[in-house]
Amino acid sequence: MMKVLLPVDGSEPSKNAILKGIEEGLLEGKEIHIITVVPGIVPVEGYILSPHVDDTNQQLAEETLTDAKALLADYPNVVAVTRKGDPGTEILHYASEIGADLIIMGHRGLGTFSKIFLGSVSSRVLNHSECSVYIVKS
Amino acid sequence: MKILMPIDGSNSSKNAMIRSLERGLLTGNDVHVFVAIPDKITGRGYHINPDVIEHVDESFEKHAKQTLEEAKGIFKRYNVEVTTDCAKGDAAKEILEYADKIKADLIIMGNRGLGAFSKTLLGSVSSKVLSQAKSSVLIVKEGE
Repeated sequence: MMKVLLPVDGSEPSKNAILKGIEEGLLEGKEIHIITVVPGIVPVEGYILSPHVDDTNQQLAEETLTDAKALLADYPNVVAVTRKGDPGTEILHYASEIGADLIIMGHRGLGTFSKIFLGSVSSRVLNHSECSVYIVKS
Repeated sequence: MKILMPIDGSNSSKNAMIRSLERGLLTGNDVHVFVAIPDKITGRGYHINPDVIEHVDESFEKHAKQTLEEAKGIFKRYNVEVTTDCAKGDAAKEILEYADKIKADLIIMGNRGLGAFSKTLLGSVSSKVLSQAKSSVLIVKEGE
């Protein structure tokens, strides 16, 4: 069965990417993997990081996956995973791990500078993935 | 859905067509295959014999025709209808203009065309089209 990977971060473009995949029948009869990446903690010199940041990120990740799963409720083969670290790296690792045939993602996620056409994570995944990448514009 | 497939006769663009046809992505859609023909050879600071320019122009046009014929052949094998077109100018610019003209919903292209430095992961044309297209873009990688 072909494997399609949907990286999500709870942003509008990532939701749109799922909807586009559904609309265009790209997910029909496929093994669907949703991944969300919890950012690793970046220590900033001179600041003490609240442990709540980690909890909040974890909680957001769970909500993101729940939302994505709800959109894909009609599909029988959905696997949802959370990884921790750099989003681009983790998405690429996971894609190789499962041998993804296609990655569908939004042109950008939650990062700032939303006017830029291709976000840093999408760009990294697109440039380094072994499989085809469908970039959905909203 | 209107799908634009810019091709240039490279293996990467052939691969993009075949993969998409195999997966049925193009079935039942209005598919346009498009070739951009380079409109001039640049040799800044060099004098180029006009005969050479004419010869190069002719061979570019011939190559474009061959590329489109080959594409038609590939589509025929999969029994999928296709519209073919070409235009002269900068590849990325012509592709983007054509996409606007037909109001493409999706652009499917290979990760690399005929340009040099084929080790680069995403070619300059694909990269420019991807960042400026209004529609979604599917980049098909080779050797999947």
